[in-house]
Amino acid sequence: MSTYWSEISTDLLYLILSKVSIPDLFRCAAVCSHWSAVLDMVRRRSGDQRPQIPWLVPEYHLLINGRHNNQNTYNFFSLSEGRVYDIPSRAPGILIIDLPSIPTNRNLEAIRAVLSCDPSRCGDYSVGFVFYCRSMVKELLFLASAGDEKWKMIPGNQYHYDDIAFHNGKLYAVSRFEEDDEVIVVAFDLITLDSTPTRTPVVALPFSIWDFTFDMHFVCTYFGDLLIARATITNELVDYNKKLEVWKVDTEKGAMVALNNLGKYTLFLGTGSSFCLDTSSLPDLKSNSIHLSNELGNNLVYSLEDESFTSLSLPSLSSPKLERSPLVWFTPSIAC
Amino acid sequence: MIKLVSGDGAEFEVEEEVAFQSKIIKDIVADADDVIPLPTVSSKVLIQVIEYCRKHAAVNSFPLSPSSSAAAAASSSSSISYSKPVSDPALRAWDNEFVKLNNSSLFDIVIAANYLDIEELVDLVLETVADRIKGKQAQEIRRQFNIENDFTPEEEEALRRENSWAFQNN
Repeated sequence: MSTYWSEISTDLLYLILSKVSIPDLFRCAAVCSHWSAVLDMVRRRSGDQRPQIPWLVPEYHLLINGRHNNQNTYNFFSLSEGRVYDIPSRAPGILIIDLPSIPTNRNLEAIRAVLSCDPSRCGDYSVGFVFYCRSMVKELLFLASAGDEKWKMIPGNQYHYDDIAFHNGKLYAVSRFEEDDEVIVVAFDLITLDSTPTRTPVVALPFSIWDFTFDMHFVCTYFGDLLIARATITNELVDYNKKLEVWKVDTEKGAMVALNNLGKYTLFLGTGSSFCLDTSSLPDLKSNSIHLSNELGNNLVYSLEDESFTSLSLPSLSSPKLERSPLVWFTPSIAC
Repeated sequence: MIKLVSGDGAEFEVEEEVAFQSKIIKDIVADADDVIPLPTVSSKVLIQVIEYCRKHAAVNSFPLSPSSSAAAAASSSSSISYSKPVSDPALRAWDNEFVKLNNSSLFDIVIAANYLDIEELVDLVLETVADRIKGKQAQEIRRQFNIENDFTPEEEEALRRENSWAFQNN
């Protein structure tokens, strides 16, 4: 056998290493000095790197009573390798962003969090948080921008936020009102946030035709469109009755169009945040599908092609407490 | 017809649309004659590259098979703006069979494809290599691709320590 691959040109090796996952990248750095040098180039120009296949992380790791937990390692499920990694919380590459401290007098518990952009690539990010307030028995929406010393509470009479997402300079929320159980999409204009943010109702969701016991809405953005998804799951003891619907929202006209084909895209919907990925550069991911990880502990892949559900097979975690924790989708990124 | 001459002197006559899968050959033919010497490409590798170009030229000249054109028509009649994946599943399956080669053959092909500027073939081989790296430890990658470890034990230990979690055995 020839020794060819040790003589591969930097250009071609760069293209290979731009395609691999982050754990693979770190292992490749230990192959030889040429590979290690090319890997440093990939890290410096992280924009050339293929998007990563999302990981799943147990929610208990991230937010405990709204405080950053003090444990030493995080468990991550790697979907592409089908295994668990224990990553030390002080490992290089774990980015901890400074946020204003949470007002403790309100007894708040963090439920969901979204970022307007990747803080490792742009300094001018905003964070949207949904907190559950035990004393008021409702959820509250808070915002903070990079460098803020205090959270900004967004007033409103919604009692529950299914999901929130930044889209075109606004914060969108799928929310429910105290008066009735109507589910509506609202937009908050971030430009006027210094005064009271303007809340614009965008569209009300059609009622689920199912006699459901549990439904959950997700909102995410991709290539200029705002998407809303609804997962309806009826517990029938033996098996789950499941349904997934997706709509594209026309934010100008306040209209929704049902989507029955996502083409090359796949959605990742979960309790922490939701997003959409283009599978054309990710051959391991199934296009026209939805990855769902919900509060009931379902971890499913739904194919819009044949309207079928399959369970994600995940390796087991060491701690039984973590086994029951809902899983949060998380896309690792690497930058110097 | 275009005549390609390998490094070991073998001659291959191929149709223009096959040879033009290579952007370099397309450029050469535009301002020169139709006999193209490829001194750095062996006949063994050239046969494999021509096989790939022949298949892709045939599929690209009829971009839509009857079933996929029907699907395209169906999706354009709805208001959905998302397109179906462009690449033909049958061609993708053919590509997957084509790259079932050992690592040194793949290396020869990617060097030839890179030289001839056949972008899709370069990408196909590099994709295959990235897939063969997946989940492997550094020593296994070295063994598979016959790469010498030129680190001192201290250097290697430092690289492993920096991101030790990635080196955990499953």
